[in-house]
Amino acid sequence: MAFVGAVILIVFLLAALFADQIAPYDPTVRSGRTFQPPSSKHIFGTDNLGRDMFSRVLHGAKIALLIAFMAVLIAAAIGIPLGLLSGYIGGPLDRILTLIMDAVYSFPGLILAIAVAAVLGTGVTNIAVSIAVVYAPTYFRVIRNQVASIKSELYVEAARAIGARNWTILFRYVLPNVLPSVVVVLSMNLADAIMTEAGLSFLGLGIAPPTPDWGYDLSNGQRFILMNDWWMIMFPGLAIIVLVLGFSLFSEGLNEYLNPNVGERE
Amino acid sequence: MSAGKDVVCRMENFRVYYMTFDGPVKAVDGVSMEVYKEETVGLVGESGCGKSTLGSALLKILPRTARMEGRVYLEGEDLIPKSEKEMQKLRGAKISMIFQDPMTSLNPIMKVKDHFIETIKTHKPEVSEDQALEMASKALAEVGISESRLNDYPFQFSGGMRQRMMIALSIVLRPTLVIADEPTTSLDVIVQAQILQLMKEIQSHIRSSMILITHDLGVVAEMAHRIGVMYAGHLVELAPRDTIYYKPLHPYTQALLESVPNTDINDMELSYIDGYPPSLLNIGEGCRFVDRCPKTMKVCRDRTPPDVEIKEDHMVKCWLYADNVGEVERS
Repeated sequence: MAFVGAVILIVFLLAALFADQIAPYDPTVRSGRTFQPPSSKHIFGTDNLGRDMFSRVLHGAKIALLIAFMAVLIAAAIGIPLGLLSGYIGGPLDRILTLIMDAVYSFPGLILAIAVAAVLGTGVTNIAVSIAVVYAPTYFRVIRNQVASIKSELYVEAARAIGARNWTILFRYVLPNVLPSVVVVLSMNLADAIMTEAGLSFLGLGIAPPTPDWGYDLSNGQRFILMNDWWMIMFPGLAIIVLVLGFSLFSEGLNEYLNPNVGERE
Repeated sequence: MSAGKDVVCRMENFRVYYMTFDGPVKAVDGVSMEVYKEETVGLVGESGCGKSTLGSALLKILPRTARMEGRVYLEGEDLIPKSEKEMQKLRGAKISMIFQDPMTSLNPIMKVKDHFIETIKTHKPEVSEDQALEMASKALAEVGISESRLNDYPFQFSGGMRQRMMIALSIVLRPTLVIADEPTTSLDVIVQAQILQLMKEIQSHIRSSMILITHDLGVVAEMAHRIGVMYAGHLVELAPRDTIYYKPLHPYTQALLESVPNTDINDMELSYIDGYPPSLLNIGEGCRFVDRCPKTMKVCRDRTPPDVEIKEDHMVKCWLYADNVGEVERS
């Protein structure tokens, strides 16, 4: 399962990295007649402005992956340290941080991202930040709970008994032992981040046109769906589905690999 | 008391209470004892009697809910008022601990050598990595582990080997006091015997004192010079090993020794102590063994017995041996 996921991810990563080389046309300028169905010249067809859909989907992968990775890294950079501190120190700090994070977590993800994006405005970094706000609590919760349980492990107590300082315990004993679950959450969040990013762009809160973006292309294409121009939403939509599936399969497989008990439930 | 012997650790009216919403749980209550240089004191008692709490309390690594009172002197320094920072300097260097379960007391993702380097560098930052490794190999050699295993991870060791490693780790800086909390409980009998023998050798080699916490009367018989018996947070009797085994005075010690199972197949009857230890939550005055004691008097319920000094080095916390009981009426 992880293998299939990994293959999908590698294909998309390569597509994103070498979009400029692979794409037959410039994705932002007219390259043929408008509303052309898939043909040998434009294998994914063209959109209402005559732009090549294949090139747009390829370049869209670049934006989607860039924003997803940025968002997840920002979320991890906020969630992990706070989760570590909260779980390790405990007490009132833990109560307050948990309360804040739970409040954020209780919002529907897309709604919150819309609100933040509306405040911050469009642009790659702003979109990444607004998605990160949604996912930071996930890291926080996972890390905090793991730390709280690892804190009571005997080897942590033993570390205290040899006189280790709190920072040493936190970074040498606790953090490395929670990292496996972070990796799994990370790859799962990437899938969600891609969907959220597409959602934001679909609603016009994402990347400003004419930059190629799957979500934007979807919303652009659905205006012409009644004209039976299916290719304009089919291919960006398919790209989103396959990439999200790739991340899901990969994270699921990773989870089974890192936590071998998960697979043996039955 | 006991002139001529150096006192390494002295506890005076040492109390450890766990604070809960329902009130304090008096896990260790009014323990006074001394540990002499190069001696092993065994602490025995049943589960929940406070012996492990006492051990961890000496390092001050108890949960935040625990409150400590009284006095604990380690080489003349009172540990109770010490801050966490000051305690970090002592832990591992002056006072160290061997834990019960060697399978979980080592960080699973740290190599053996990193455990040692960590310990040494924490206390002696001036030591170079090479010197630290040298110290580590020496300590491992002392417990019979080849230095070629320094690069291994804890999971590559068996339980007995891990416990040897823990011992090596706890003595690498030559602490004055080693606290061994049930060091052999999770090992099989053969390995147990080896570990005990090893601990004995190491202790006389590095000339440290040891507090050996266990519920296994066989282990303390093997190891301890003196034995303290704990019951429900009280230290009820403290005496040299032979005195505890042959002339126990406290009714609990007597009952405890009678309930040790033996391998004599002609004696199939196993005696036991009727009833359960009291809950330590909000427990008040009085002897805590009172409900299970065959010799209960009226005074036992009302007032906590004093630590009665029977003779030099033999303390009993029991009204039966208090001289002033006459005034408080026996009944």
